[in-house]
Formats: sequence, structure tokens, C-alpha cells
Amino acid sequence: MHGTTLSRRALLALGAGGVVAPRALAGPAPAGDRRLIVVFVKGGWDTTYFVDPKLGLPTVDGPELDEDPGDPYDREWIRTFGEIPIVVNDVKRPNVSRFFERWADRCAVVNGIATGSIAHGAARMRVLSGSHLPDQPDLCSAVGADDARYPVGALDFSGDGQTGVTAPSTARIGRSRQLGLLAAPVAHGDALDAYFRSRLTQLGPDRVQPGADEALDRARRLRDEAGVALSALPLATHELDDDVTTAVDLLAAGVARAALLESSAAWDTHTNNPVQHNLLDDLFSALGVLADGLDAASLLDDTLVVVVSEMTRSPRRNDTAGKAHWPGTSAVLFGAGVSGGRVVGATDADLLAMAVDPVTGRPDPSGSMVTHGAFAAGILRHLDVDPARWLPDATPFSAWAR
Amino acid sequence: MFAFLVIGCGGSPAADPPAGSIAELTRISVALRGIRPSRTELDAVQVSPAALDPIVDGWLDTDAFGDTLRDLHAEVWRFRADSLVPLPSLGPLESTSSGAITASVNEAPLRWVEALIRDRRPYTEVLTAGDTFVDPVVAAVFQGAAHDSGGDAWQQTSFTDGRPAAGLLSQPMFHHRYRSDAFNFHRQRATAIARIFLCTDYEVLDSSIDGAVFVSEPPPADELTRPECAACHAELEPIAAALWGFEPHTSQILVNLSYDKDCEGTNDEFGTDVVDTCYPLRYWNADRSDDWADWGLHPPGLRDQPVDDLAALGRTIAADPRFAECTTRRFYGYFTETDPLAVSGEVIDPLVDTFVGSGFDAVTLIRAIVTSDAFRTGPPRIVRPEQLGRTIEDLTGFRWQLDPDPDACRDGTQFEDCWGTVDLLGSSRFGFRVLGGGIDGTSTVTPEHTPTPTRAMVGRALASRAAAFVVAADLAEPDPGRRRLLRRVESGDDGEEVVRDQLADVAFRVLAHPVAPDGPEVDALYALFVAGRAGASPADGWVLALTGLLDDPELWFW
Repeated sequence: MHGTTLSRRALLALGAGGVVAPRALAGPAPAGDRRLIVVFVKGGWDTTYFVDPKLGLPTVDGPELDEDPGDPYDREWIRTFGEIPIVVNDVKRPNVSRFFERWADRCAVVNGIATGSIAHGAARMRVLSGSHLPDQPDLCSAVGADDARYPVGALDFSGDGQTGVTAPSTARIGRSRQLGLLAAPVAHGDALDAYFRSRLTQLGPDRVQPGADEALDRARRLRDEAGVALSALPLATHELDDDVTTAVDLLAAGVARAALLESSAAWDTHTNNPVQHNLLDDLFSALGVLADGLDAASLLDDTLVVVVSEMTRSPRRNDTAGKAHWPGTSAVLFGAGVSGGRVVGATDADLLAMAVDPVTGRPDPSGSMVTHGAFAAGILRHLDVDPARWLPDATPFSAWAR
Repeated sequence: MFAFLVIGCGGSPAADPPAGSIAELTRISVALRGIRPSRTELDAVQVSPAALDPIVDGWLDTDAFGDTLRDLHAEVWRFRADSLVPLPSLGPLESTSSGAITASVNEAPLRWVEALIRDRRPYTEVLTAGDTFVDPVVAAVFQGAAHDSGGDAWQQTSFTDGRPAAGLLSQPMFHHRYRSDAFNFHRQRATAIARIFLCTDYEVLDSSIDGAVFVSEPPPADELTRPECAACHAELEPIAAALWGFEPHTSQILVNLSYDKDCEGTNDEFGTDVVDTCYPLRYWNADRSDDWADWGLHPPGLRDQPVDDLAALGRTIAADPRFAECTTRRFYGYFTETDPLAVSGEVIDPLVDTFVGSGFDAVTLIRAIVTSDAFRTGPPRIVRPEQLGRTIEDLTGFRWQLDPDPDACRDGTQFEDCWGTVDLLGSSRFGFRVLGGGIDGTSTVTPEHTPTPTRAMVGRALASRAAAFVVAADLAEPDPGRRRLLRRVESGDDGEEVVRDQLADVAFRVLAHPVAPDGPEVDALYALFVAGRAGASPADGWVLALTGLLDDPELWFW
């Protein structure tokens, strides 16, 4: 089914729960059919602990400082997966190795994304949306905007998504997944919808806001087409470990085109930066489950996964073994259309973003910075969403893509 | 009289309600109180538009208006952040649920500002007052203010620990909500102060930092001279310096660790006394109020204007012209559901003059806003989730609540996970405040004032439950005068004429304007009644009809 773009009439004809089935045909989905999952790592990960090796540099306090001299296996070393050098530690972060062992050929790393901000809120907006503006839709909301193929364009598991004008096509899951409480059908739903629409007509366009009809329609589709899946969500605060499975299930059920997930663990390590070891290990455990799940659902070829944090951490530690904020970050991408086994973008010995050739992604003093806007625009273009609509001033950076 | 002639025979009001019309009355009522006008109020204005003003004046002295004041400040200050990790149920609070702790600490500053406004104190006291509001839980959580067990649950009281009188900036909840960890040096708090009171949101500035500035390690003072830093730090650093003396954020983890140590000794990681991070939590420490100097930071002030302490900072901000304008913009933006910073000077300037001329009386400002032509004739606004909940409860008596985990509260043995009964339209953690277009105060900080799929789902689910509730209650009530909505029918009535008559009466109450039994509104409702009645009982017809009515677009948009 992913070999063609179905008309809405055809989709509706599939009936409840069967909007877009997993692809059975050979060949990846065209860009306009690709799905998007963004995993936002909230708080600021330390890229020198995995994707941006700086081991041994005098300018960077890296993970090697945490090695236990009494444990010969507790060693930080660089292992290259394809052409991706990753800092690994078989004791502290085995899941990072496991992930790249299995999926490196589907992964690209983008280093040196310059955000220009060290404030959490500002950097988060820039990374998630490509812009500093608070009403700029995040990537998932932008990708799902106006997409009538799905009950909603985007699902927000995080609460950090920005919808702006895309609000009519985005749905938040809720901190405790309480969307599930609303998913049960209400008796005589068709009659109630008809009543509501008749009243909209009676009131006229000057008494109501635009989008009410669309909101009603999408609500009905969420109940009709995703009600079973949503109602099964347990009412409890949720973490990334739960969400990766739920997201795969809901995307496989055709509920949305995009999903924003979040790791809200204690990443903001102003004290005790070695906590990053455990956090990264847990993160990559969840990413492994996500990749496995997408693969099992035959969605990995058609889904772009972007894993990104709003910032990395300062190269040097402070007096409490913590690290401050740093105005840049990296991203891990895997799935649909990713040029696997590669690293693009770079940082220097001070962990500052370097100018790169926009085509190859290799360091080039005459090149340009990979800004948050360029990075976001490249993702939009990769999903056949016109970046000029959302980020008119950004030149898409797509060196990571096939 | 013109308004009466236009709508006296039924039919929805015009898009731009005339001044003195019941449509204007409804718009003001929803804005000020979150509920529809009563039938008595509607009738009074229908008879005489001049009745509108005294009705509005009366509303400005009601508890429902107080609810709105708390909602407004919860949104602007980004409080009621119930998605944050709650403080633990330990020590004196070991029998208090997480839900109760969270509710009390979140509401304390909101009740404080509600009282400040309703007592007609100058709004500048939001930065200069030395009082606070406590209930037994708040007094147990935070040091500095005692609760009189013989008094009301919520009490106005004074701080007893000598902290500076700086209004909101003295409230412990401000410092609990806005963290200052490790080397943040109160900058997040300063950012919040600038956003809330000066309308400068440093998180959305279009400025970029060249990371090289960090590598060269300038001394902190240079943050005010380097252009790339000064854009934010010129204002933030002096404000932040005035906040020294308030402790960094006390997290659930730290409180747990402190009780593990039996509230004795020191927190090695932070160098603080454990007893200060056991209940009641210490947030004010006068001995640290000058510690900014130890770190070589900029001295306290507001930009180039030095201040001696936090109290002086509060007074200085309150005297800054930006405070009056920002307050006016924030209030106007809230009541009109518009971007407060995008409102033209032509609209704002007269309101600022009114506000300042009244001695910073917030009630006067709010009255001026909701009785202005711009408010009356503005585009349709969408009801907030809190307003929707109050509207439905006012109409039907139904409050949408849930206990998310009854087992956690059983026998009082698991209060760490016990939230108790939650108001679903007031909760973002378990309820539908965010899904209904509201905020959670931390991640989702901008309300969605547009229709959304989840908003539609919330409205439908709420309406169906409220309809079932009120139909059952009303039809079981033998005295029609004591019923809420179905006052003209009995359980077995299903003849078209009597049904239409009742529907018209209910619709008038719900939609807040006359509705003809043979008009289009009742035609649509009657169709629902028939659909619900088919093969079932008249009660089922009423439930379906009222479900539609309680989720009517005229309740969505006001």
C-alpha cells in the first residue's frame, strides 16, 4: 500500500482500523509517504560520550575520566561502525554498541549542529522546529500538517511539541496517555456530528473559528480508526521505553504520519556528568526497541527516525564534575532514505561547530554551518514537505540522506 | 431595545454583538467567570441594555471571577505545573497525598494574587507586598509562614523569616517552580521575571551565541559588555543578583535523601544542611543574599539602575513604565485570546492610562478591557478547558473527576503515588487541560486557541457524561423547581410539542439567548431526541439531545 498514495476516499473505504497497512510491496516508500519519528532527548546529552569522539584531547573532559582503573573492561575506546566512529564502553554503555552493531548501516550521524543558544527553552524550540519562534510548528507537526491521509498528522507524546497553525491536525497523547480515555466511541456519534455541523452552518463563519469542521472530522477518525489502539493505553505517566512501542503500534495502525517522543531523564548534568553513561545506555536500549519494532512492522524503510537533543554539554567539567550547556548538538538519524554508516558535520577541539561542505558534509572552511534551521529544513525536504513553507530562510542540509 | 427586537423571536446573535445586548453580556460572562449568564441576568438585559453595566460590576466581585483571576495568573506565571515530579509524602506530610501537596503548593500564590486583586490593592503589590497565602499543607511544606489552625483553610498571613517584601518574588512557590540549579545563578528566575513583568521573553530572542565566547572564558562581568551576551545578560544578570538569598530548587530527590538521613547532617553535594531540605523546606536564607559578590557577578539592579535588595528590585520594576504596559498587555491578551505582544498601541495605550490612572487597580483594568469595543466586536474566541468545565458544572452540576489510582490511596499506605480525586479539566497530568487547548506550565506553555481534534474529543466526552448526569438527576427530582435543566417534562413525556418546548427552554439556558420551539436550533435538537429515543426511553432521547447541546459550537466559541 505504500507504493502509491491513496486517496482519502480509498482510505475511508478500508474501514475502521485499517487505514494504511504495512507495506507489502518491494521498494521504499516515496518521500511523500515517509513517516517521521523524532526522539527528543530533553536536557542536553553529552555527545563526547558517544557520537562525537574527543578522547584524549586536552581541551575536552571526556568519558575516559570516569574509567575504573581496577576494571580492565571499563575502558572508553572508539569503535567504527561503517564509517561512524562511536565512543563505546562495554561496561558502562553496552547498549550503544549493540545498537550500532545492528543498525549502523541504516544510521547517519550529524555532528556540529549549531543552535546558537544555551538556554533550554530556546534551544529546544530551535532544534525541534528549526526556528526561534514559539509558534513555529515542530518538525512532526509540520510534516503532518494538512495531511488528510491519517486521522491526525502528528502525535505528540512529549508535551514539548509546538503546533502553531498546525493545531487542527495534531494530537497530544497526554502526560499519562489520557488521550486513551477519550477514544471510546460515544453512542450516536454520527447524529451528534451531524448536529454539530448543522449548527456550524446555522451560526455562520463569523460566529465560529475556522477548523472546527476539520477538528470534528479528525476526532471522529481518531475514535473510529484508532479507538481500539488508543483505548488500550494504560493511564499512567509514561517514559520513552513505553512510548517507542506505542508509537510503532500507532504508526503501524495508520493513526498519524509523525510522532514526537521524548526522553525526559535527568540529562541536564550540571553536576555529576558521569550520569550520562547510564542515560545513554538506557536511551540506546529504547532506540534498539524502536528500530526492532519498526523493522518487525515493515516500517523501517519508510520511517525516518531523528534522535536529537537541544544541546550538548561543555567540553570542560566544573567543580562538581558536571558540565554546563553548549551551543550545539548532534543528531542520530536512521531509517528511510538515510545514507547509512556515515558521519556528516563536525566539531573542533573545543566542541564548536565547524563549517562544512553542504553536499558532502565534510569540514570545509569555505563551507557553511549546519544551523538548526538548515538541519530542520533538510528533514522536511526528506519527507517531501516544502521547507520554504515553514523555514523560508533556511537552506536545507541533506548530506546525511541518500 | 434594538438588540431585543433583533433576537426576541429566537435565533443566534449577530457576529458583532451590539453594545448592551445579551450577546455582549454572554461574552463578558464567559470571559470574567467562565460561565453563561443566568436566566435572570439575560432577562434583565433583554428588557434594558442599561442593566448590563451593574451586572458586570457585580460579577467583578464574585468567587467565579476569582477563579478566572487564578486561571489568568496560572497561565501567565506558568504555575499549576502538575506534570512536574511532586514533592514526596514524608515527615509531617506522610499522610498527605501527592495530589493534595501539588494542589496546595500550586494554588497558594494564585490565591494570594486573587485576594490582592479582589481586595482592590494596587497591582504593583504583586512585586512589593510582604504577605502570602497558606493552607495547612503549604505551611508544612515551606518555611516562613504559619497557619492558624483555628482559622480558614486558606489564610492570608505574613512571612515570619524576615525575607524581603517583594510580592511574587518572595513567594516560595515562585522559587520552587523556577529552578536555579548549580551554576544557573538564578538566571532562570530572572528570565521568568523579565517575561512575566516586562514582557521580554529572552528565550525567543532571535540572537545567536558564538560558542567561541565560552572558550575564551571571559570573566562574568564581561557578559554585559560582549554584544553577543549583553542581548540577554544586560537585563538578566542584575535581576538575578537580587535573588540571591533564595535557595536553589529543592527536588523530590533531595527531600527523599534528606529524610533518609533523618534530617541531620549536611547534603555533601550541595553543602547545605539537611534539615533545610526536610519539611518545612527552607527557601530563604538571608546570609546568602550577597553571595553574588563571591562569584564576581554583576550587582543587583534593573539594567543600569542599581538596587539594594530584592524588595528594592520589586519596587523598581513596579515603577518601570514597562510594568504597567506589560500587565495591561498580559491581561488583554488573556481575555481576548490574542498574542499580548502583538496588540496595537492604539488599543493598549488607553487601557494603560486607565490602569495607571486607577492606581493600578486590576479590577478597573479588567472591566475596561471586557467593556471595550475591541473586546465586544472581536473575532470568536474558543472556550478554555477550565471555562468549559465551569460552564458545564454550572449548567448541569456535573464535575468531571477521576481517581487515577484508587489503590495507591487505600489505607493511606501508599501516599507517594496517591493523587486522589483529580479535576480532569484542571489537570494536565491526568486530565484534559492540555488536550483541551490549555497549558501545563512547563512543556506546553502556549495555549491553543483554535479547534483541535483532542479539543473536540474532550468536548464530546464531557458533554455525554454531563448529559447523562443531569438527565438522571433531573428526572429523579420530583420538584421541577429544583431541577437544573429539564423543568417542563417528566420521565414519560415524549410528545413533539412538549419536547420542543422543553428543548427551547433548555437551549435558552445553555446558549444564553431566546430560542423558538420551531426554530432551527430546536429542529436540530429534536432530531437528536428522536434518534436517541428510538427503540429506547425518552430519557435516552434527552441524553442525546443534551449531549449535542452541551457540545454545541455556541459553547465552544464565545
